[in-house]
Amino acid sequence: MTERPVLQLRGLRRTYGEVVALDQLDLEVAHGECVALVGHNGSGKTTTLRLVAGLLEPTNGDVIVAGDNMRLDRARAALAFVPDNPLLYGDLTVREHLELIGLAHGMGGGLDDRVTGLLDRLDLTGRQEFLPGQLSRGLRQKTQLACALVRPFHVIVLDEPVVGLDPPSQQTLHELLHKAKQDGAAILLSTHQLPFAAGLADRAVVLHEGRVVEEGPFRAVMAGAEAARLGLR
Amino acid sequence: MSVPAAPALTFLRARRRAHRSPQQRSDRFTGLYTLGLYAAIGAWIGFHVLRQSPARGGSADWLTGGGLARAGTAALLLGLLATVRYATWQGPVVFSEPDIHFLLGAPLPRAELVRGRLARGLLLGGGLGALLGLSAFVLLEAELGAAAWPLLAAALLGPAVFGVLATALGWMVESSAGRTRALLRASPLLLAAAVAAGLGGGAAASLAPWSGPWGWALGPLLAAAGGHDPAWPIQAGLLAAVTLAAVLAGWREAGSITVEQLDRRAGIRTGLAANLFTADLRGAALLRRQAVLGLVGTRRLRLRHPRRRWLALPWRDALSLMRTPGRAGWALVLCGGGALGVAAAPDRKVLAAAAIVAAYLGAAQLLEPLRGEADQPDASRMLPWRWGDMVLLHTVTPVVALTVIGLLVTALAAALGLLAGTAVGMALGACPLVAAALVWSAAIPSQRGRLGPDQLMTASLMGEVGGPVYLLRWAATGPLLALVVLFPPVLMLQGAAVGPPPRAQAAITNAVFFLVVALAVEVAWLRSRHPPA
Repeated sequence: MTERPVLQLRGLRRTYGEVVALDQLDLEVAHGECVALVGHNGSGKTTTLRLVAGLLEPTNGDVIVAGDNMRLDRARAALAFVPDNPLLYGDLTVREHLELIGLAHGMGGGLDDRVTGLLDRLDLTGRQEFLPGQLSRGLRQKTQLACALVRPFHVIVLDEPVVGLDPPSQQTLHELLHKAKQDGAAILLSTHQLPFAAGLADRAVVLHEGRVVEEGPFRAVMAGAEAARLGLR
Repeated sequence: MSVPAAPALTFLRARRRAHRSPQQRSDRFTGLYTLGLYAAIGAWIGFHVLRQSPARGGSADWLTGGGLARAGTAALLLGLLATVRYATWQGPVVFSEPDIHFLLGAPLPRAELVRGRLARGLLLGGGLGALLGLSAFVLLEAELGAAAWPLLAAALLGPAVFGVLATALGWMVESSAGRTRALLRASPLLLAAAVAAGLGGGAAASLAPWSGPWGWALGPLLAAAGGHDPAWPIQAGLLAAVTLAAVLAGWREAGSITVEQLDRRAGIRTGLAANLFTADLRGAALLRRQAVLGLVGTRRLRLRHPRRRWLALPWRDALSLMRTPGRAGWALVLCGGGALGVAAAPDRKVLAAAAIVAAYLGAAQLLEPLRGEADQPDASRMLPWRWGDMVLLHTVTPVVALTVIGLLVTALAAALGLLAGTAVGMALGACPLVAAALVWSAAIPSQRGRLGPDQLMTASLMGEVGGPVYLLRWAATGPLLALVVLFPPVLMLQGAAVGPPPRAQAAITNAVFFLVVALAVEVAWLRSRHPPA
């Protein structure tokens, strides 16, 4: 793990009317590091991830990806996002989704091989010509994951990535993310599946009512008093 | 580090087209062909019906004597209001949810992605304006018999350019959250301006062509229709200049919209499509209302809770009404408009029937809490009342609110000289009875719950004609019920108005008796109801 942060959240705050969903979040994630956001429903995890992905505008603060503000094309090119609910075109096949992502990210040669390899790795080869309507929830989630993983990225953000995945697929995802970490990618994820996060996350950030209440090495935080008080383990 | 958008967009279009089955392509062609054919046939029939109707010197005089200027200005202002209001929750540029995720999440130039849709929206806006102008041409040509080609050119071009301008303004509203909020707050002013333009006298008619782009769009039409407007070339030039400026400004702003705003609209469109697919018009309306409320924020008005148990539901309904005052506003507009129309022309039977239906729709606006209760009847089991009693308690606040609206409208009608003498007293006395009749008629269909899969399946099995008729019956029950309860008393009173005083007295007694019996039947029926399955 190197120390240079590739993802920086500076004083991030988001309000919905009078409701403060996230308050003054400062966080840095380095190359090759995985940070897990944990907390109850409504604690601000998804808001944080959507802010990082550029799907929400911060009320205050900045999201910096690889040195660029998230509003810039270059930052968007460096960040991959996996939402909690698969969002796919109803009239494109699994393979075509991956090809489209490749084109939209300016990937030239080698795209076909990369798509084929990833489909194979995620056990989607047999369904590569299926439309989303012909896929189960879990297979759609896998397609969504493949869309994020097919293109190059410095940061990957995942919102509840294992919901709907069977144990072998969870294991595959674990391995793929581990590989991405080794290749230097930063990972920011939220999950209620602590065993999944335990094998991957270096650090945990505990959110409660939009504020960071504890932060540190994953195992130490989850074994700590705050996690116990909030009933997170 | 932007990636050119063209290859990705071309790929997307090509692949989506490839997956469209020949049947889908054929359906699309058939739909467009049918639409075009019906529009042409409708315009032709409309033109000939209007032309062959008896001499209408009065209408022609009214149109050329300022009526066209006033009605046209009001129509264009309302069109502009509808377009910019639409832009507060949808607008000319709307992406799908996957587009947001895949295209806007990629390093493709946002302005380029937006401009494609914006251009389509501007074309559509111009097309809709031209369609509106075509309807005006059919009407005017049949009524006035003016020279056809200048009239057609003026009727098409002015509204078409105005449609483009309205769309460009809509985009400027869509692309800025601040402008969206400002417009939502200023909408009543635009509505008031349209009403003032429509109802104003000669002064409004002479001011209309200079009142703004809506008037400039009308200037050439007024001149072509035989009205006096020698300055129409200046007005046309002003309209073209303002439209060009708005389009250029919008084009320049194309990249400034945030993904959050586009994502919000994409989510609404997905929900809207789901609601319309299941014929859930109310669900679609609620979605739109929720989207707007999300922007301006919920009004946190408080109302001290009552001590008496039976007032709990009326209190809850009053809170709901206070937090969505638009519902009371619509009730006022629909009921008030209907009542004033009947007061202005009391002998017109069709007008009276239309006024009852409009008032019914106004009353139905006030019953949303009851419909919410019927959507989730299990939740009502937490409350200590039988379903039938609960339904009646849910109608208390709407009846009171509608009675107050009725009293206000009666006072307005008296002030305008539409009601006088004993008629004012009778109208005031009738307000609670009519309010109860409307609300209880609306309460009966309000408790049927959402249109379920079984009803949709039934409609689907009934075929192309039977299915829509079956679904229409769902929507038509309430208005028909209101007509059954209120139209006979109206007919009795209309018949008595031309007879001697003793006959009038008897007719009033009969009408009141009929209404009271009908209300008693409605109450008994409502009380006997059980929660929807």
